[in-house]
Order: sequence, then C-alpha cells, then structure tokens
Amino acid sequence: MINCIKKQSICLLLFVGMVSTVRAQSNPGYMGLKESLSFDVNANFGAIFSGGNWNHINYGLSYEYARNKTSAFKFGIKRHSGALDGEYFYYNADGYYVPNTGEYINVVNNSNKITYNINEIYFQANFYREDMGAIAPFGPYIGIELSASMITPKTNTLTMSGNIYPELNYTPNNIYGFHTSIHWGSKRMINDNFGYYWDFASGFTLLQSGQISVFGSEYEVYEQPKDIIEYEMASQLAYNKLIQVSAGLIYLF
Amino acid sequence: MFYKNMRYHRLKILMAFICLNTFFFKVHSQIDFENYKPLYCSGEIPENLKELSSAKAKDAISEIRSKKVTRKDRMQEQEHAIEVSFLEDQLLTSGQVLFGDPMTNYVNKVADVILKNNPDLKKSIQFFVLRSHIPNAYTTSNGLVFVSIGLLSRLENESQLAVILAHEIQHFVQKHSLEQFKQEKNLKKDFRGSDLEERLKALYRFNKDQELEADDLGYKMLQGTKYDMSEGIYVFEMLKYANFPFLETPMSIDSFESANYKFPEVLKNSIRESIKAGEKSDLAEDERENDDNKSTHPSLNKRILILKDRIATLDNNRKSKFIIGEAAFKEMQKIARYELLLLFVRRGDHGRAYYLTRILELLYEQGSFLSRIKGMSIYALVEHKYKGHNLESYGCNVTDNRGDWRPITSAFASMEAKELSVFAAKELWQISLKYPKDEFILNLRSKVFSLMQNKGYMKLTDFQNFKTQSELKAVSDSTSTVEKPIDKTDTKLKNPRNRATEFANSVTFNSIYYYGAFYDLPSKEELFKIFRKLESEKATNIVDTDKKERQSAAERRAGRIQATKERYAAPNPEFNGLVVFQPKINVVKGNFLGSAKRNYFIEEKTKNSLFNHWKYVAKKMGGSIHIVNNAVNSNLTTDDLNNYAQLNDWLMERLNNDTNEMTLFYSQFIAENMKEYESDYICWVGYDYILLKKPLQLENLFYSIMFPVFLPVYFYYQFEEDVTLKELTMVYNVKNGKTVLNRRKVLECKLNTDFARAQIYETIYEIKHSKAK
Repeated sequence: MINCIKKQSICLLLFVGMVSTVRAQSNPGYMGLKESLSFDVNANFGAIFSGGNWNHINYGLSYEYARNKTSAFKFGIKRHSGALDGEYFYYNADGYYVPNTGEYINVVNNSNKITYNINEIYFQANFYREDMGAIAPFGPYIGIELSASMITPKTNTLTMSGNIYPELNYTPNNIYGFHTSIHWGSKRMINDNFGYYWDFASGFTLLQSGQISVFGSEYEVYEQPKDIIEYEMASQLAYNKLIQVSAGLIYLF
Repeated sequence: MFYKNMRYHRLKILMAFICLNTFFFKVHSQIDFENYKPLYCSGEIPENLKELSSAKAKDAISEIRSKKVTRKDRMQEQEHAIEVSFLEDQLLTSGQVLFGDPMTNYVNKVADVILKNNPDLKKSIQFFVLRSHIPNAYTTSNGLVFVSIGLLSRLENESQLAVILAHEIQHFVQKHSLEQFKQEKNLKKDFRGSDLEERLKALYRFNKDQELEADDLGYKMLQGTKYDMSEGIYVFEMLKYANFPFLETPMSIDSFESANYKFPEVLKNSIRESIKAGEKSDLAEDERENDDNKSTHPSLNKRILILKDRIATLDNNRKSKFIIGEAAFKEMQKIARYELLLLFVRRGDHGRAYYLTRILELLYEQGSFLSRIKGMSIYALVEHKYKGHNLESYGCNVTDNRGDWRPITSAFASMEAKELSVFAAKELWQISLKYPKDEFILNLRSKVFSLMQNKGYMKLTDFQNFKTQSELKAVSDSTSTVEKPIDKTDTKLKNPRNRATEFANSVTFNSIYYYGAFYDLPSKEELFKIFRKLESEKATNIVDTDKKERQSAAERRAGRIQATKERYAAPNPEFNGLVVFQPKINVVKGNFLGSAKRNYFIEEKTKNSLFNHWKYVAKKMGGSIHIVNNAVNSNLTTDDLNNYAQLNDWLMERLNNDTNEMTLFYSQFIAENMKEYESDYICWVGYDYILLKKPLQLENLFYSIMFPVFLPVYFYYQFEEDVTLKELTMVYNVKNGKTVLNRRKVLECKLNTDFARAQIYETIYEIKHSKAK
C-alpha cells in the first residue's frame, strides 16, 4: 500500500516536472489574466458500464495557472457522495461461491445501503489549441489529468445474514486509487473576468489499493464477503473515471 | 475735356479690372506648388456616407421586389444592387477618392454646364476624382462618376473633359451597368477583384454597343452646350497614347554625359537592344487595339471616325474649348500633374516619376518639390538595384513605357548597381547644391553615398584620384625622363608575385568610366571632403562588417534565434504608441451546395464590431493606441477619411517598395499626424473570414440513425460551419520604414467577442514586445 502511494507520488512529480519544463514566456493570458478559479459540477457516467448507479453528480473547486500561451496547470479537488444498494451483493444469481464447501450461498445485506464518499485531488495539464484561437487559460483545450482518490465508506458496520461465512460484522476499508484521464473542453468568457466552461473526459484507473482486480470477470469468486464489498466500491472508483462530463463557472484574475 | 475724362475713366476701370483679376487669381490659386503637399478631401462629407451600406442595399432590394420582373431578373438586380452599394462605399472611404478638392470642384463646374438644362439629372449624379494613374473614368449605377487623375493630367482643354463627362452620364442614364452585369452573370463571370479599382473595372466593363451608344448620346447632350465636340477626337487619341507620358521630351543617358563622364558603348548597346524589344511589342499591341473583332471595346480609331462623321453634319462654329475659363483649367491641370507624380512615387514607379519631373520642370518651374521627387526617384532606384530587384517593376518597364520615357527608364534598368549609384550621387549632389538646407534632399544624398560604400563596396575617396587624359599625360611625361638605375641583381629569374604590382600599376581610376562622374561638378572639393569624412567613419566600423560576413551559417542561425528570444524577452523600449487602421475584413460564406461568395452584410457588421473590440482592448491596455476609423456611419467626418488616406498613402508606398530601411517620400507628410498621435508605429490588420457549410453527408446520417446515440454528434458536425480565419498583421516604424511585425495566422475560430478580444490583446502585446528587424 505504501509502495503503491509512493509510486503514485513519483509519477505525479515526474509529470509535474515534465510539464514545468515547457518553455515559459511572458504570456498575455486572456486580456492579461492568467489565473482562474472555478466551481465545477461533474457528472460521472462510467458506472453505467458496470450496471450500477449512474447518478454520480459531484462538485469541486479548481485553480488554474497559465504557464504560457498554450499550456496551463490546474489543481482541483472533487468530492461526492454515493450509495450502494443492498442488491449489489446479489451479484451472482447463485450467490457467491465458497470453494471449500462447493456451495453457493446468498448474502443478504440487512443494511439498506452502503454509503460512501469519494474524495479526489487532481492535477491536470491543459494544452490550449492556438490554431483554434485559444490563449491559455481561455478557449478550447486538451488536458491530461492525474488524480488520486479515496473512497471512504460512511456506513460503519454491515450486517449480513443467511448462510454466510463466519465474519458477520464488517467495516469496509478505504480504497485508494490513482487514475488518469484525457480531457477535451473549452472555456468561454462572458466578460473580462467571468466565464464558463464545459469539459468531457475519459480515463481509467492506473493503480488501486486492495488485492482486487476490478477488471476481472463479473463472475469472479471471492472468498470473503468483505471482498465483494470492496470489489463493488473499487468498481465505483474505477468506472467513475470512464466518462465524466463537467461544466462550471470560472473567474479569471 | 470730355474725351480726356472718358479715357481716364476707362483707364480706371481697366486698372480695377486687372487688380481684381490678379487678386482673384491669387485667391483662387492657393496651392503652394513650391512645397506641394498631396491633396485630400475637404468640406462636408457626402450624405451617402452617413448611411450604412447595408441599409442602402436593403432599400434598393425592397425597391426591386416591388417591380414586376421575372424571378431571375429580380435575383440578378438584387445581387447587382448589393455589389454596387457596398463597392461604392468601400471606394469612397478607401482614401482613393477625392471630394471638395480643387480638381473635383472643377469637374463639378463642368458638369454643371453640361447639365444646366437638366437639374433633376444633376441631382442624381455625383462627381469625384479617383486617385489613379490610369487614364479612365467610371460610372456606377447609383450615379457616382469617378474621373481619374491620370485622365485629368492629360486633358488639354475643358471641352475634352466635357466630352468624357457627357459619355459617362449617358452610361448612367441608359443603365448600362445593370444590363452588362446581367449579361456577364449569364456567362457566369466572376466579379471578384484583388483591389477596389479592379472590382470597379470588373463591374463596369461595358460592351462595344454600350460604349458606342454612350458616345452617341453624349454628343447629343453636348450639342445643347457651347462645348467644342471635335475635341472628342483628341480624347480618343489621348487614350490611344495612354502608355506614353502626357507630354514628351527626349531624354537618354547621352544628355547626362560630360567631358569626363561618358557611358560605355556596351551599356548603350544594351539599352538599344531593350528599346528594340519594346518597339516590337508596341507593334503587337497596336495590332490588337486596331482589330475591332478581337477587342471587347470598340477600337479608338472606329470611335474617332464615327465622331468625325457626326461633326461633319454639325455646325461647330461658335463653339468654345473653354466656358469656365482657361486659367481655371490650367490650374486644375497643374494640380492633376503634380498629383500624378505623387501617385507614381506612391506606386513605386520611380522610373516614370523621374522622367515626369523633367517634364514638369520644363512646363512650370524647377522647385524644391520637383527636386525632392527627382531625388527620391533616383535614390529609390538605387536602393532597389542594390537589393537585387528588377527595376522593371519600379517604373522602368520597357514594354509599358512607350514614347520618350522609354530610353531613360531602359537605361536605369540596364545599368549595374554601381553605375546607377554614381549617377544618382551626381544628381543628388547637384540638387543639394540648389537646396543646401533641404533636410529631405540631404538625407537622400547621404543614403546614396552610404549605399555606394556599404553595398557597392566602393571606396569613395577613389573618385578624387581620377585624372583627365591631359593630366595623365603630364604625369607620365614627368616620370619618363627619370632613368631607372640598372638592377645588378637582375637575373633571368623573377618572382611571380610581381604580377600583382604590375597589375596594380596598370589600373587607374580612369579605366572605369564612372570615376570621372564628379570631376566636372561644381563644388567638387566640398564633395570629396564629404567622401573623405565618410571613409574615415567607415574605417572604424569595418571590423564588425567583416566579422558578420565571416560568420558561418550555423553562427548566423544561432544569432537569429538569440535575436528572436531577445525580441520577446522584454517590452520594446522604443514602443511609444500605435496607430491602427480600421481593421479590414472579407467575409465569404458558403452554402450546402458547395458554392461560396462574399457576404457584405456580415462583413459590415463584423467590421464594426471588430472596430469596437480594438477600441475596447486598446483602452484596457492603456498607452497611446489609436484606431483610425473609415467605416461608413453617421459619425464619419472628412477629417477621419483624410487621416486614413494620409496614413494609407504612406503604407502603400511602403508596401509597393517592399524594402526595409528605405526612406519614404510620404514620411514627410505624415510626420505631423504621427506627432499628434504621439506614436511612430503604424499597424494594418486584415482578416479573411471564411464560413463554409459542410456538404450533406448522407452516409453519416444513415449510420447515426442506426446508432441513435451518435445522432446529436452528427447534427453538430453537419450544421457546424467550417471556419477559417486568416489574419495578417503588419506593423511598421514610420520614422525609418522598418518592419516591426509581419505576421500571418490561420485559425479555426469564430470571431465571437471573447475570441476576438483575446486575439487583439495578444496582437497588441506582441507588437509592444517586438523590436524592429
């Protein structure tokens, strides 16, 4: 886990370093304004592919600094809350398989939902398309994002009934992930200082804590109930990044 | 007693008459020809420039809609009305048209005489002078008549002008332009031209029948006046000789020779060859002109014959060449000729300008203005020669220059750079002696000397070593009596290096003919003193020049990269403000069928909004940034147009000469304006805005129906226009003519407010940080 985080940090630093070496020149910004703050509204639709709940509207704040006419750095945070319904745990019509006994048993979650928070911090490098009339931080851009996120279950204890494996009461762990995505967006101005933007992103998870392969078969068997829950949460995290649409208000200064 | 009183009385009246006339003439002739300045507009701006072109076009369209014509005719008339409304306004605000000036006032007076009995027609026609060297006149379908300066400078009397005006009036009355437009539309001809005068020509290209009809009805119109119609013959002859100077005097390089400055036969033969080549092409052109079948215009010979036949049937007695007055005509003619000279300078036709100064000096008096033009022309030719430019593009075209200006202009084109620079130096020295305090002439002279030194690698002090034949003989006689001692070491062996000494001893400054150019000049000692001073100044800089020449390609490239970095590193300390022309824009819009054409309505709207954006951004950035407005609107004034025209003249001269670091003639005239603007920088920005619809792609529609999730993407792609925005920005330092910025951009963005302002801000920022090259 610690190694995982170390690797993520190194990658992030390398990426920042690489983008920092882009030649800086005195750039005009948009009418001389190079920095922007934005309030973001994001919608993540990737969970559709996992057959899950797609209602993942989340909010965030970000700061962007134009390094030169064609590139800018953006730092932001996002936070959203979600819930997994109990039926998730019937992910297999036959229940989950216990290899020791060869039985399939159902697991019933007596808690209605597992609620969780996803907190994300990201760094994005935006490259503004000069041929489209863009001058950082304004106009159409393509961005590369590196983000680190953590999914934290809010429900403390889950109780399960049925023929279950001995561990009854279980508190799921936090899941950490390191992701990347590509953004296509555009910023427009209403006046010299205020404007809006829209953004479409698609990405995937590079690394994830836990021993679960979220890209494994749907019918993969897990020995522990907690694994199922962690699997589901990790899926949320992973698919979260598949398709994301954002819009927001920006303030240039 | 009575008779004595009568005589005295008559004398008093005569004296009063003479005084009044003299006074009137003096008041009338307010032009200072000695220090002539270009004419610009004066008085109230014409009313039609206060209304937007789009409003006028819409009025014309609604009028056409109410007519009962076929749909095709209606569409063509509407298109014609749009083309004409916008073209007229663009021409009137381009700085190429004069109103309220002495020439236009004179033309209007002649028109008043012609249309005396037709006040309604007079109200519907307006007369202007077009700043063009081509002898021509144009009439638009809205009743604007443009007479070019090229034409006015060639006229010999008032009647000739009357014939031309009557002809043009009839084109308007008979609505020839609309007829011709429809015919050419049916033949699918294009009306695009690269500049306004070309578009004017394209739009008003009348056919033979229309020209003959205009001639015929014009003569009828003139019959009601006292103008001498037979002058029309001379008008046609004048047009036949349009490539000749308006007056001629023989001028060849022979007339510049002196006792010790004689041009070599090689050069003279080369000139003769090029003149022969020119004469050959003259024959071909004359044949084309005389063949009525091949030309779209009736031949001038035919028109002359028709006019002669008509005159034979009329009583041409008691007709007059002048009705307003000969003095007024002469004044107008003189102004037109001075303006023509300025037009040639502006166009970069220096060969022609040089020749014409001689004509004007013979006609009128030599003055500082004519001397400056002469100096400017010869200096400019030297600049271009050293840049390796072909002087045929600078008024020395052997084919175009028919008549007596061919020999001298061919000579300029044939001379080598050093020969031409010596010729120019000689001319400028002589001019500067007459005007020793004229800064402009002194500047030109020093520029030529500098070119001789730095580009011609000529050692100026060598000129003072020139000796005449008699002087040389005296020297050799004096040395030949000395006996050389016998060299006892002399053997059969000799050092091959001695050849260098032998050669050096044999070459004298007399073997190169132009070294004798200054020998016979007045005040030559003063000249040689200047040469010695320049040589000693050059010696201190010689190392740098040599080092630059010795640099390798890699070193030069590294130097250029470093210079580019330095250019953008910090604001340019020399930047003290900017004067920006009203941004120019051409908008081309396409349709789904794949055709595209200029959309003047969007153009006008975009032009006005671009002006506002520039003003807004300039205000935001602070500093001295002025936008010179020439767009048609209710607030437009004559001063706005004149400011624009003055700056435009300088820019045209700069672009037509296309040479960095060249002294420009019009710099003298805009110095005051630029002082008022507190700026040395001038900026021209032009946009080509192309909005094309994508052709319908049915297969993509089919796929989108199959996969409905892509339907919105398809519609977005299909209906979104392909946008191309080309921007050209040119910035020059008016003081020295240097290029500060010359940048082309091709973008794919629409000119929405935020994009436009971002680009403008970026442009101004780049200008502020650019150093002149």
